Amino acid sequence: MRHDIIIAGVGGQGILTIARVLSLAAMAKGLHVKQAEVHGMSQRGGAVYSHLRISDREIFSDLIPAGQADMILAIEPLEALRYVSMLREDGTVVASTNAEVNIPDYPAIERVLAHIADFGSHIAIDMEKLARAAGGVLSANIVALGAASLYLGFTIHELQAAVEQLFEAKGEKIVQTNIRALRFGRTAASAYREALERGVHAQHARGWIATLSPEHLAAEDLDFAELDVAVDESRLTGAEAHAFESLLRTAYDEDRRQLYEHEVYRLIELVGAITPPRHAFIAKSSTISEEVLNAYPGDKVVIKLVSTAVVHKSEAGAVQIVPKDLDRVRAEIERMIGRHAPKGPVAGVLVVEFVEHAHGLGSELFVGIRATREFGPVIAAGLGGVQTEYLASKMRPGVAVAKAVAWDIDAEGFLELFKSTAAYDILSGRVRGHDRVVSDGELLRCFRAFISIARQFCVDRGEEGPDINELEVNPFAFVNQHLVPLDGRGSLRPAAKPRPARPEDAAKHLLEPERIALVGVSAKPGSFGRVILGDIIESGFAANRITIIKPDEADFEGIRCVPTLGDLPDPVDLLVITVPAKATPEIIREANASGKVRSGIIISGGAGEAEGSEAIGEEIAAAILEGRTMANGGAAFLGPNCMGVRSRPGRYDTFFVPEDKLPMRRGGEPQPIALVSQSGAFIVSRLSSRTDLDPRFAISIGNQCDLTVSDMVRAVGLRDDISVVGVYLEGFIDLDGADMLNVVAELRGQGKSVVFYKAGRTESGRSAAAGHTAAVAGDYDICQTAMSLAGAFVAQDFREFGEALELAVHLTGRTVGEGRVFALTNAGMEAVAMADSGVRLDAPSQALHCELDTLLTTHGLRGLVSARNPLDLTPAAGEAAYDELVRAALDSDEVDAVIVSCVPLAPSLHSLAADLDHSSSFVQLAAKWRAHSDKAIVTVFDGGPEYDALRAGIRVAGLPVFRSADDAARLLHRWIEQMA
Amino acid sequence: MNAELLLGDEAVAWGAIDSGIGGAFSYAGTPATEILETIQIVAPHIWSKWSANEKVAYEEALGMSYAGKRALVSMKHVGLNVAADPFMSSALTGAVGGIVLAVGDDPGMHSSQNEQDSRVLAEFAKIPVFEPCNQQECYDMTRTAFAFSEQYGLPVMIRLVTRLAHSRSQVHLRPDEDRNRSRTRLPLPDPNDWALVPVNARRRYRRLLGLQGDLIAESERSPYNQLTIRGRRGIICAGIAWNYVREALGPDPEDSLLRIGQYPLPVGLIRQIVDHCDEIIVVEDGYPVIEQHLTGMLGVPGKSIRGRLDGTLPADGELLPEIVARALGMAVDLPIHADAIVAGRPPQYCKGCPHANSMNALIDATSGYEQPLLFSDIGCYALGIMPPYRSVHSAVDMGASIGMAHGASRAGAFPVLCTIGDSTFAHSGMTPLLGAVLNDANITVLILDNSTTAMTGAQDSMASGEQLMELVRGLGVKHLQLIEPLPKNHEANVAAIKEAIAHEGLSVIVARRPCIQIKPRKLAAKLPQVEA
Repeated sequence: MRHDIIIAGVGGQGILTIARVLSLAAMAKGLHVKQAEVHGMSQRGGAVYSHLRISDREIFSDLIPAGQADMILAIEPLEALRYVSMLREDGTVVASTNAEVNIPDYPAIERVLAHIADFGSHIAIDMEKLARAAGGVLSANIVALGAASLYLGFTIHELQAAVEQLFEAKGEKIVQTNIRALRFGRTAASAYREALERGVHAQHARGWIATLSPEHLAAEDLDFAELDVAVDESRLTGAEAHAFESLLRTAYDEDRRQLYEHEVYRLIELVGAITPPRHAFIAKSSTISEEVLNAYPGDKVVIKLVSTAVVHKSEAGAVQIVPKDLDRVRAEIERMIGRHAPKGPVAGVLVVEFVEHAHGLGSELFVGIRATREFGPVIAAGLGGVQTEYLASKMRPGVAVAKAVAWDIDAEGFLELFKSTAAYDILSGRVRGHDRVVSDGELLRCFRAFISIARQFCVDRGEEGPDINELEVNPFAFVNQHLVPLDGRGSLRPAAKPRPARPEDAAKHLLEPERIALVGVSAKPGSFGRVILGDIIESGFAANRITIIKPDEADFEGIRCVPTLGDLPDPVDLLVITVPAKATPEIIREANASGKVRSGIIISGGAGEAEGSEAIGEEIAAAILEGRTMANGGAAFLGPNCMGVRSRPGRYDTFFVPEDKLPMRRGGEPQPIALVSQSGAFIVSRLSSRTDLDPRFAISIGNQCDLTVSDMVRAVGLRDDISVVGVYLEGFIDLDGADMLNVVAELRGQGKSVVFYKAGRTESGRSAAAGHTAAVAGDYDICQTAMSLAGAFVAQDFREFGEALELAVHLTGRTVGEGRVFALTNAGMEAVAMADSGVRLDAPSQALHCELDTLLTTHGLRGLVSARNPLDLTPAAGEAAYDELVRAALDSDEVDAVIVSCVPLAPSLHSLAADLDHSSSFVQLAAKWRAHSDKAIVTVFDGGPEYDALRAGIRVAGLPVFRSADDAARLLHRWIEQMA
Repeated sequence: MNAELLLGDEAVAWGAIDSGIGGAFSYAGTPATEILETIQIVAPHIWSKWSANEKVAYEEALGMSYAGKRALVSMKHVGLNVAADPFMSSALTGAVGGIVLAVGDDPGMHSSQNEQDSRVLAEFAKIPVFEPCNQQECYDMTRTAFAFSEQYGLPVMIRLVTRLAHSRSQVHLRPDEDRNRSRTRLPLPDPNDWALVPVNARRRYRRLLGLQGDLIAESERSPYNQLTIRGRRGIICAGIAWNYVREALGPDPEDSLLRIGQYPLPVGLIRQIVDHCDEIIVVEDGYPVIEQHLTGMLGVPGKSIRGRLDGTLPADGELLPEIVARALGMAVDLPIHADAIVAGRPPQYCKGCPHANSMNALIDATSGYEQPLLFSDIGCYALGIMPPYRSVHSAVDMGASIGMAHGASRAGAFPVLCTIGDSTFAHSGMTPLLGAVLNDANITVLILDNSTTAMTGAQDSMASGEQLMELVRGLGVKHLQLIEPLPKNHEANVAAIKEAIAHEGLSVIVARRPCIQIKPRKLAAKLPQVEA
């Protein structure tokens, strides 16, 4: 028996312990042992190894002769490859997949692992993860030993005895952890070997091992029936994530939050996304050696400053192209450092290979990811170079830059999105004078890497390690259809943390409460509490289901009072809080302690939104969070600074607007609309100016201290009696944007619509120091794009918001198909305006043309009117002509939507209030058209107040009405573009 | 089978313990550090504190020998240069209690500034050497060496190389009555033998010369010098090279073999193999000491003597089994090629190391000058030579930095700085600093006080903390500042160094923050403790 093993790792990984355990086990069997170790200088983070020789005969050399080792056992994958020339031909490699990236030129980790997998006899497993499962990451070395034991002729019991012997002095816990580590390593290795024997690809086998639970690993026999390996290609492999983490940690531990250019290269190279040009970092106290310089291809090199202080290098004079001459390069290095050192921290320079590539618009690509507070990880890509921001600001959204929330898109999806940009048109050679410079496959590979990184590192990682704030390459140049990065930057910063989930049904109770309690009602006339109490009662909420929290009184204007929340006879679904802000935290605590409150509305203002009141806001948040730790999760609260909630189904209203200022609608069926708004004023002004919209719910969400906009949109949106949700928002709380996207997609899936308006275009976050990604995919931009991608209609202004709600209600249950619109009008100027709107107005086919022509003849319009789209009927057309032509359009299979526009001043029309009952008035026709077809029908009646009754009547008949044809056509166009 | 798994260093320590030493003396240095450490851990009753430097260690051992007890002194090869003065003289004084010098040579320079061969120095001093080839011999030879030392009244050297010092194997220990020697003292010598005034020294030197014949005779019959005459090709190997030769030749070698483990060289045995063979290959780790003796200047007529001198083996570097096999004409098959994607991984500062912060401060404080000179010394801070720092420009020998800085400043260089660790300062930095004080050298000395001897594994330092400050003040330094090398103090530290540079004349900055690696040594924790 003879085993010659090279044990390898990085200083500090405990390779000598492996050797000790094996030596003890060998000695117990009476075998000879020799074990050469490395001590001294190389222990410090450098490569370390030990030669272990075990034999039943005398061993001479302490070192294993090259080419004769039976095994390389490495706790680090690159270290395994370092010694392969020591191995005999059929030798075994047992290696951890956990890279220790403490050197500047660490290769792509999956490439390293692929080289290991080339060995017929090999094991490559995530030893750190297995050690963690066993009880401690420090036991990765014993995991390695367990894995190696498959090949070493020792029983698990012999090794276990040696482990016990070695760790005995450290206590039972450490002994047990290491015994588990030994077993886990052995089980994982045999599972890995089994998987490979079954023909599973090494990378997939690793992925599968990573899914094994400690129970699996502790089992004597694994059930290989479960060896169904599904690999998520959109995620980094475990090895890649580990290597990435290791590098980030290095920068983080240096107390640095900016990543240097070469570190960005290393990161993306580690995950195999790209191959950067040759580069070397030269620290500022040193210079480049002749040998290093000579290794560069070409006759010039680029010298770039490495400094956390300089963001845009070319503008700062921190990039210089220099002939590849040692003296000149050295002089330029010195000059550049000397020039910049007095202005800020300078780490050194990067000497980069000069890459010959095309210049000018469209010859460079930008790709970046960042952690946004509202949506989490975001990816953006577009035209690169110094013009990136300029183009992004000057071009229509989505044209210069494609951007998306990385959670919601995969590389293929993002490539599709990218294909709609001008960047892709140019890069793929679709623009005259441009050849294709990059393949789709190359772009896909790049996007996949960035998206995977974003998903795993642009998020809150808690104790796991530093989070990436931003990571970008701008620009990539193109050489032989490949992406070559020419500059990169990155930064680390804690990402937004998700908050504990709100109790699930709380918002439902809030929308339609059985019982309401109020706190803060005073006898003072006009006080908030008192106005609200009146509003609730007048809205029809039964007085006997209302309780007021008021000490010392049993009754307030006929409503029952109890002294405290604890005294409530029955639990309440809703507590309306109108006490001053500073008293609010106490009420919240009392509510949670009583266990009798399901939800609450905090009307109280002055809690966080104004300077100086942040402390109270924080205290309120803290009080609410305390409830989350209770068994029932505590109560959920809307607000503070909530202006109110109007719930028609719940028969209550807490908007404290006097009746004469905003009359309550109590009768009649409300529209299936819910308004959710961060601004109370936005709601009341909408309610006042668009009384026709009459929403079933209007919810002011206030500061979103607890219940968020996405909570409320979900709660109202999922109700059967709601088909359209309108949202006005100034900002999401942390990561609520991402939740909102899910809600929107869910509602969209149910055939419902979300109309969204985001205020706050100018962001404070856009400082000059921010990177390209933040500049082109800032919070506002990403919000617009992501909401639209998720399926919301993003309104540009308040008027469009109202119009879109109206359209959305009409379109519920209707389709816009391919967006082919047929437009009719009786005014030439409207025809022109609609044609200009961009909406798709296909010319009628021969068949439709004939049909229209026939109808025009019937109505005596032949000669006056030609059968075109838009169809200009002239003022001579009467309602009957309209009726037949509209029906013809609705019946045509080449039309998806119809715009019926009419200047109502023509004498023959029954357009005044008194004539609306006439059987041919548009009001009557509208109802018929609506019933006739499930295509979208939009009407326009451009006229003064005399025609308000006409418009109102048509709305009642169920069609949307616009005041001007261009608005209608534009909105329909935008709707189709966004929603189809 | 009662065997312990011991490093070569540990086996030497056990050999000394079982020989009944009264004390062990050393200054830490790779690869010899673990010798004293083992004694500290397993035999705490034996005096085994670190000495200020190797010269002091040697003198302390010599004093113990004079007083009649056995003493072990251990150091790395370049440490013996520091101790050369007492070492050379001790060959003349001789030993009363046995005195054994264990030296760790470092062929291949794993952790050293040269690969000098201590056998040369032993020959220079004309004392006997034992050179073990395995861990068992490390133990056995140490036992023998103490007896030999007392028998001949001479210090005896044990020569180790890194590979053996830092390799483990089973060792059978033989604790016996020798251990009790530590309880009694041998009679004191005649002071005239130890007072090396010329008249005595001449007499003692003649005695040493007179002993050489006896020593050679001992070598001729030593079990460690074994001759097997077989074929016409002869192989002479020393120490650890024996293993590589045996490994290469297999169980039934056809060659004649002479294995050398004890010096001075056994002339008779060597003559026998040379007479028998036409071709001699000399295999030795380190310098070609035996080969040089054989070939002299002109070679042996009619014989082919091969080894490091003729290129059969590389002239420098550590021997490896495959190198020896190739030299012996065996085919060395390397079926798997080195992988080209493997990148180098040089040693680097530990995360959070105070030296990294000191280096950064040093870089920023001197970046404004055209050509600052930064002399460094031996210790972890010498890693500042490597990327990404490349901040220091020399590392020569223990304590060199201050003297070199002074010398450079006298050549007109400015600014001149030097970095020296607390332990190195205690080792041999105080005397050059005293010189710099008295001559008001215009240099800035940074003493990097991490309160330990970090590079060799955190041994106690002789001068750190307040004691170091007192020492520096006591030497007469007036311009003295204390800084704490932490990232948050970077700006202040840069300013302090700049201010020290601006000061005309000598300035000293002590950068104090403990090494993050300091922890109790557990090297031999599993070994049985020796009772007092």
